[in-house]
Amino acid sequence: MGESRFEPVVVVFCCWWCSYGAADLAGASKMSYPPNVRIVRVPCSGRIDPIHILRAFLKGADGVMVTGCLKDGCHYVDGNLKAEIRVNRLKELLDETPLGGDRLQMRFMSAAESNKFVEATSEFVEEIRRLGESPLKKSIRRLVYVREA
Amino acid sequence: MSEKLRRIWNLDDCNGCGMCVSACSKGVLSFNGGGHPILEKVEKVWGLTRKEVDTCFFCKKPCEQVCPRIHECEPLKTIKIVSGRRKGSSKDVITSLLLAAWGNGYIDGAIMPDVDRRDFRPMAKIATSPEEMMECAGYQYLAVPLLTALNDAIYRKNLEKIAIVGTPCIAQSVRRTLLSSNDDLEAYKRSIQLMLGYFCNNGFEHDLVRDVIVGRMEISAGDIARIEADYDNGNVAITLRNGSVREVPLIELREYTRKGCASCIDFASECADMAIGNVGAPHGYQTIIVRTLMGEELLSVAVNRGYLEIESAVDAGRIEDLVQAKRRRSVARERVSLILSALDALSHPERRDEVVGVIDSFVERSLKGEQ
Repeated sequence: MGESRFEPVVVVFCCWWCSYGAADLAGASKMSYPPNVRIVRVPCSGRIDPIHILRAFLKGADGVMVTGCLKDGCHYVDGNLKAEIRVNRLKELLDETPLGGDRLQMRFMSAAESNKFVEATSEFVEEIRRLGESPLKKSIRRLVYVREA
Repeated sequence: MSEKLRRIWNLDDCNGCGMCVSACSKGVLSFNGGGHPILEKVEKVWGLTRKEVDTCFFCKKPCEQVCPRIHECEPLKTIKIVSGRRKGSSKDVITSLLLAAWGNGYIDGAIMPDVDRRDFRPMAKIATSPEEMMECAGYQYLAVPLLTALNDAIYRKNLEKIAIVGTPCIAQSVRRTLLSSNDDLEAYKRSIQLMLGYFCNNGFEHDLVRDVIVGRMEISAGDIARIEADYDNGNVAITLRNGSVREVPLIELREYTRKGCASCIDFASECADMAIGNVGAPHGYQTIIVRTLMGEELLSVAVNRGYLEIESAVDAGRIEDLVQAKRRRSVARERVSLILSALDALSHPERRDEVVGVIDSFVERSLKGEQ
């Protein structure tokens, strides 16, 4: 079996009111973003709990991106700011694990900025490609291999 | 050092009761105002060699056994709810009960929260006479490591029958001590006779006095007569010595909450012999919840001897609301432990499936609205 090229799996949490619209617009205006991106739609970036992000990592995501509305444009007043606090806090915690805080990122954009969405996701996928596969996924593969053998 | 206790400290879970400091058989724990006790480092010197000693290696770890944050204690059942007041006066139920207990020989001293009048800093006071009990300021919603005074009370003041008056977390520690099977704790088990608990939603740090009352409201600390949380109106009422009352909304004081209170789920002192608080009682009265036979006996003694007059009118539903509201903190506590175990599983992949399962069941339960 030949060594296949590593393709990262990136989960992007999209706010219904902005970045999901941006992703939608990107599709409508025939701009392409990396196929590694898996979009999860949430009502507001403030809905995202650290548990959701951690579960994505546990289930084998190589990177997680949280996108929210522009700083003073949240549909629910300050959900995006709360999300930012949580993400920054979680990044610090992730730094203590083998995963590292760089695999988690937060971006802000409005519904009209489809180019920003495409840019952000492709940049992030490149960044994850550079960082390589999630160490958790690697060790789980080893674990399964050992168990089956 | 006990790893379990270290974990409690690092997570800011410590309730600051001070029982571990009293119970420590090596005397290496101390409390000096921080969020949790401090472990003293002991060095042994042989000639030119200095070596740090693990003081806890040969210890039975009574600190672990008394800590209510390591092992929860079962709440006691309610026997009776009444409202009462000191005869001919208003409120002041705790003092009346203590005086009745003293008069009947149930106790020969009490450990109560008091304040330093100069800067309104809370401290533990050992009252050995009725006069001292009446002078005591009581709980001012400022957190205080009350049980650090236990050794002083037993060994220095030679008290044999002690009543403890304190917050629900202190009641929990006392209950854990009374239920433990460690011989080292025998002295405490023998001498603690009575536990009177307050209703408490959260305690505040002393910073509240320094920043808000002295700093923002420009009241001199010496002028404060008492601080009282009014859960019905969502205010903290600050009574001054000249009788005037100033109020601050509770919501503005959130940042001054003691951190350990975030994981406490006990509002109505469910581990104390009797719980006393303002919620649910008619004006001028206080609610008394009796939970043990000792409490029941003391209540009847206090009434018969004329220290206390009681009424049966209590709004139990209102108390239950606040009890349930505080119990919801257990969800937050579960979330924190979930996040920690998830982070743990990131470095220990063999635990992954288990943790994902726990997360899924947690999310499912919260979606169903069971919490």
